[in-house]
Amino acid sequence: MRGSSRPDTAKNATVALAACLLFLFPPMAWSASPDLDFSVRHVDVRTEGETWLLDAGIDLEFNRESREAMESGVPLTALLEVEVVRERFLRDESVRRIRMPYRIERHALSQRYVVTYVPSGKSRTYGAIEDASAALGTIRGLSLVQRAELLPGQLYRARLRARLDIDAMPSPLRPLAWFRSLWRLRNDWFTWVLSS
Amino acid sequence: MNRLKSGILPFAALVLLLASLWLMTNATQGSARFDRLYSVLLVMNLAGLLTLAALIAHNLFRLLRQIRERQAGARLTGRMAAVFVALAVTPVIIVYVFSLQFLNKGIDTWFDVRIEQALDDALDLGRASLDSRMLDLLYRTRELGAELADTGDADIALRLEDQRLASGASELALLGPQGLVIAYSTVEHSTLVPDRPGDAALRQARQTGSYVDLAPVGDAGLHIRVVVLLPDVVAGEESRPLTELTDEPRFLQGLFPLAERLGRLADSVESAYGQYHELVYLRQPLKLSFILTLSLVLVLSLFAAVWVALFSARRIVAPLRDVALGTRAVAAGDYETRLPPAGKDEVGFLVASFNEMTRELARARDATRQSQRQLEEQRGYLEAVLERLSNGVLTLDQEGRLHTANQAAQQILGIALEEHVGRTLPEIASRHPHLFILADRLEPHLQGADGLSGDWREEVFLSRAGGRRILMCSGAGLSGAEEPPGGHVIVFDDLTELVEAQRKAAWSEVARRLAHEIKNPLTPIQLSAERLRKKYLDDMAPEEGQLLDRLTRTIVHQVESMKSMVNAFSDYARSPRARPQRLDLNALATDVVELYRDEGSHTRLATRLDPHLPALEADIDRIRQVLHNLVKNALEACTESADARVEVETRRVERTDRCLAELRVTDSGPGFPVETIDRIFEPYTTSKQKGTGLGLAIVKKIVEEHNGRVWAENRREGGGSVVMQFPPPPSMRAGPGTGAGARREAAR
Repeated sequence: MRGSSRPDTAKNATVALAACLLFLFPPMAWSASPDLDFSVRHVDVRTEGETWLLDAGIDLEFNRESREAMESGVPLTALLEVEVVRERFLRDESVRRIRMPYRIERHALSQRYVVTYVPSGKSRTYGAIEDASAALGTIRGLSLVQRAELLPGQLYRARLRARLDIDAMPSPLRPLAWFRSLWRLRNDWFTWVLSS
Repeated sequence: MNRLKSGILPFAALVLLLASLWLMTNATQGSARFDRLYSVLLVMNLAGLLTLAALIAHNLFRLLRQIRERQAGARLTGRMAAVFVALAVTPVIIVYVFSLQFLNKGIDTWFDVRIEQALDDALDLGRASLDSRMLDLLYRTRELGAELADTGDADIALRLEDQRLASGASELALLGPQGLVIAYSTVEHSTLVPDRPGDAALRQARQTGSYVDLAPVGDAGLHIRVVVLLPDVVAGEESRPLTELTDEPRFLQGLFPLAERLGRLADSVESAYGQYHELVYLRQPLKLSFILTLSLVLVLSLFAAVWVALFSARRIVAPLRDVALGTRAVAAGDYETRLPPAGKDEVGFLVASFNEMTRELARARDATRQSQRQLEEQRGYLEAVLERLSNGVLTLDQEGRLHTANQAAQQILGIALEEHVGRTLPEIASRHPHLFILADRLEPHLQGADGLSGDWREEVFLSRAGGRRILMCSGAGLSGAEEPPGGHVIVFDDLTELVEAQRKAAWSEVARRLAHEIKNPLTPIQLSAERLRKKYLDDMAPEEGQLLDRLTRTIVHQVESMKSMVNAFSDYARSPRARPQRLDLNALATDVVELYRDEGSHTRLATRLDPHLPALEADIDRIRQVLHNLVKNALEACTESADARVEVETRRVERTDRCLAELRVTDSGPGFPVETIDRIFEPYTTSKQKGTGLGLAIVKKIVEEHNGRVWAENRREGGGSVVMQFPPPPSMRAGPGTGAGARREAAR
């Protein structure tokens, strides 16, 4: 298994949007490309029967701005994305794409962090943000793809990334998040080859 | 289609942009429906604004270019657009500035320190209340844990169920050291796995013996979670199946729902506190977001105002521009210009009036053209008639300046009259002296009272190269209504040919009668004289005989002379059939001159012959007679001259349509009398003491029989010339011919 980073494909759209905003609001400065706040610590793919399972560890390091927002009661959403692609000449084909949005919010009365898996609404509480982010960054036994879905003789890659979902923020915060790199918490795609 | 492109499509785009902005405003204000579309809407609005900006820039650039090129209506469009923009932008900017202030102040008024403090206090109060409840539940759970310590594993599940029902817990679970569930009881029977505490909770419970927290559990609301470490159990008891865990700590977790009222109040406090603090945190982003939306609305309004201003100005000015362009077109002579209708307002009335005006102009122009065409046709017709007239026609304006002249007038007067249009007759005569007499004779008629309306006739003798011309002129005044106003028309006939023909006919008749009446008695007279001489000469005395002989000889001699004269008349009157043949005039001239060359004579005979002389077709005998007559006349004319010289010259004369053969016989004698030079070719017009007076008349007759013309002229250096010009034969008239032989020049 080998891993490598690929450029963020969403960057172009962001730059285009920022260019439009800069046209209208020149005083707002555009900051340089941000440091990556999230990183994939380890990835382990194993098979169980006909199913490929993923175990992974991601370091989700929330910076001061995001923590401050959460302390102020602003819910943030961390989006974990896993994708299996078949490599082709011009454009890779997506075989499987898994999106796992987790909402993290501070419960003022209990002074705990509530992490909710958005699709199911199931939540857990944590006393510290570190505990919450450690729980979030741990993937165990995620069903990645069925062996039957992979064509023999083809090259498949899997990739993983985590990012703060700006579109899930409260709308007033979004323009600020687009402008300021501090709000673009993410890691580039972590890619590895799927091999039997 | 253009209307659709220029008006409806941008308007529709504008409406779409406005709708998009409205949606974005809703999203900014927290509408869940549009919240997810916020980014898309923002990008869409920005793209729309950029497009609108590009459209405006394009329109402005085009307008500036039109102003630079000074296109019709461009400046007016610019001024109107500027006024519209100023009218629209000023209130928008004012509203924007005030809105910003209201926005800032309005958002700031949402936040109050007292409210924040009250919320904090409420939260603290809630926490204090919950802390008390949590403490109670901790004690209660510890008691339950102590009770469980005495319970065997087989009964533990039932025991947990009893305890849960008794304690009011929603869930009781006995957990192993790693949080593994040993047994549990829950109010939710559908739940397969109890809600496990986190590692931190277990860690704390292991370290301190207990753990209590308040946390929301799924959709069930706030619960108090209590985890207590169970007291150590005695190993080896039979009832304990999990012997392997005896050394390991065990935990009892209880989840206790809050009382309904308390839970509702806690939720309310939590919600209010959270929302307020979120709002506090989002105060600046919210302002920024509102300002962004407001700014977008402002920019859209500005752009829309500018675009609408440009569009409206162009629409308003378009008919005026059309009118300006139409006026230019009319000024340039295009009367077919029709402008598109421009509504029912004053501008529309102006456009309709313009169209009516151009229609009227076109109608008037067509009528004028029709009249002009008719006039041109009439003029052409008159010109054609005039050109075919053998009469010369001149028209003069009121001041006596030449206006028009037909071809016959130019031929008769012998000058190119078109070069003299605009000149008076005296001015023309000053350039062509032979017309002096014409100008002199006509001037009184042109200036007199009869020149205005009365008709007049006048015979004028015109001396010009080629001989005297007799013109019968008649004139009349022209009506003042015509263009040019007033003036005169002069018509003249060249009667020369007619008069000469009449005169020639008269002389021919005289000659014929002379020949007939005189020649007949001459022979009897001669015979009678000879018989007298023969009968009586021998019988008479010598003295008388000598007298008779002298008298009869005189009679016979005079009769012979009279016969010669009568024969000459006869020759003049007679017109023998011509026998034309190819004639080399140069050779003929040389032959004739050689006949008259006499070594003893003091007269020098010379020839100057043009080798390029065109060939002639002529009766060689008659041309020879012409040459004989002329050379003989010339020799006789210069008998008394000290430096007597006779020259026969041939020359090629180029005309526009043909070339002529010119024969000129020049002598150094006294020349022709000026008073008779115009009539020198008439019979019996001679300055010689002897001769019949028919020589030059016969020359003229022969030349005219060969379609040539002859005239006499006096030379400036002395002496006279008789000049003849012969046309080429019909077969050679297409182009100039070439004479045979080299130029020969001899002078002796």
